[in-house]
Amino acid sequence: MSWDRIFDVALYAYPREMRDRVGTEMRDTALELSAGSRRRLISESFSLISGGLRARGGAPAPASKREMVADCCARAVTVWSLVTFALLLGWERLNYTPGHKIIGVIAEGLPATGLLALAAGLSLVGYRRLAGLAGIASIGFILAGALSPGSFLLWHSSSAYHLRLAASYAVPTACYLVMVLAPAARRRSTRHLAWLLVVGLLGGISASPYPPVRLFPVVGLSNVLLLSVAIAGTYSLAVNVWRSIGFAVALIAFGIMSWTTGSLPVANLFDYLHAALTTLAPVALIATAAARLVSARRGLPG
Amino acid sequence: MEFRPPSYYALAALIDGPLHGYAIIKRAAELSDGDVRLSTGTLYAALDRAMGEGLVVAGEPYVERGRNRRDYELTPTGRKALQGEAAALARAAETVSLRLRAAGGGAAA
Repeated sequence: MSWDRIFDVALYAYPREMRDRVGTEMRDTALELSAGSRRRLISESFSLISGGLRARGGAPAPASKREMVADCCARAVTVWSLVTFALLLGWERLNYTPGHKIIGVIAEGLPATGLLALAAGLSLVGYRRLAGLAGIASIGFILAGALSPGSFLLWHSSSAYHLRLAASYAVPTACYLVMVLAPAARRRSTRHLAWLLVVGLLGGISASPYPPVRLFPVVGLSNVLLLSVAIAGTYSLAVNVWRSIGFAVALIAFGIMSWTTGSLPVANLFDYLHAALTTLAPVALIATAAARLVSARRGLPG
Repeated sequence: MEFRPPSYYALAALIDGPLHGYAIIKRAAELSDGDVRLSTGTLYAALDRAMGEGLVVAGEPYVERGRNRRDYELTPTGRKALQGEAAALARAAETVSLRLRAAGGGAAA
């Protein structure tokens, strides 16, 4: 592979806008700077990658606070709907998995599952207002099912429980409302639908009786998914802090659900993991993201 | 506004007139007696931020000897910011030099 090509690949670390604007110029500068020095070629490649990641990390916020909030909400609720969709699928297949500790005791139902998938899919493609409507409808189905007289949760019939159940959906509901009322613009792309396929498969196989996937019911599909969200949020700190905050808000939503629906306090090792992921991880992510934003806004880099 | 050495010298390279990226890196190395060796990533991050703050403007892209280039130029605001930073650095250097002399540590370079 030629160094032109290597630099072109390294430039993918930059946000698309900057790559389109000065990418060829940067590549040619790097080539000229490192002419005749293999060592400099290598260091320039790393410089482009690290510079690109920094540019993404300090990428300018959306134009206004309103857009910033809308974008974070959309990212958060997209992650939330994907994870919840996977868990509902597992629920449909197995009736009970440890993963359901995070959504507490909710009523199963195909409409809720289907609408959540629709909300996630529309949001991933970029139709955020429609996604918000589908998401609100899905939560409506979930709550209506959980509180209906036919629900097996009748033994949880106290009004305090109903309030806690409603509170546990406050964050996703608020985020969906923001998507409906003030959707952040997003370039449309069907490519991102692959995420729906991935989590759908995870949810679908989580109840499988076959050994390789029996790990999920043991560890808890929720822990597998939440750990993935926490890792993605941590990685995003270096790439796009706003995305990282979105992941953190999704984790907070699950944390509120866990604490309000009574699946916590913890009982075993995996519950401790669950509590850490939904309580400590988002706090750490948001604190780090805020620190990065403050440092990115101070002075010139380098 | 805070300038770190790479950004400071990158902007200082533009005092005598517009330069393209590669020339800025070479000029910054000359001005700093080789202390500052800007990499491409650092330079363009600094230029991007400087443009965002109105300190530098970019010209139209062009091709020179097969290389894609664009000249960057200090704005009056950028020149003023650089003057302010240079004055602050001079004051800081003077303060430390005076203290060193007063403490009998010898003359500062």
